[in-house]
Amino acid sequence: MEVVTLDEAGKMQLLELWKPVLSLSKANTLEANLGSCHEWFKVVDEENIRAIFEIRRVPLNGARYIKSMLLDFAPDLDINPEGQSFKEASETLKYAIEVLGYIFSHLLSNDTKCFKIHNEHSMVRMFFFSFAEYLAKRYPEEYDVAFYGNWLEITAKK
Amino acid sequence: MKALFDMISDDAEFMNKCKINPILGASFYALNEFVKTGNELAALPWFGLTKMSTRKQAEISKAA
Repeated sequence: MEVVTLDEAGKMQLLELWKPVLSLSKANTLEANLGSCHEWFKVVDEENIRAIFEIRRVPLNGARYIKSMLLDFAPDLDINPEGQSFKEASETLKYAIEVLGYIFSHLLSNDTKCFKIHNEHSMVRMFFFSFAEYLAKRYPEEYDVAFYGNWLEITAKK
Repeated sequence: MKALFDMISDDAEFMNKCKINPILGASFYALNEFVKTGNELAALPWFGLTKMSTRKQAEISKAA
């Protein structure tokens, strides 16, 4: 698995792959999001794009942090305990968790070893609250974690 | 979905990966908590383009 910058050609290629399987509204939203002036990255595994995410870099007192992040798993990701074998659904879920972990690890790998994420979606906030709680309680020596309002801020100490 | 998380919790190899990589562990924990509190993964916008989200929306439309 690797994180690769999604350049303009890559965005066009991605839209050609993904748009045909999406509803018109989702395809239009994806195209509009990719058209933003911010950096986009793709998570690639065995030449397949598994997810894409956006990073908005903001300077702050010399450091840089991520103001907001859009993230989309690939349309072919399916976790369906009713339509798949339990084992298959479980393996796909594990894979999705690994992709998420890979993305967040990538975000912490910058020079400042810090990232902030602003997100206004209530469901994503719920996720980040638990994410922050886990690191703060279990790894206080390794991570500084702050969760306030719509913001999550994580700093790797090592 | 909760049963899938329970199954993964019993997967020693995966849980060991989570111990080695706290960020992976936090990702697992946060998704697990999300589902435990009665939410569906498809409700997270990150899964909005996936087949499971499309299926969920079709179910909602059918019910309506």
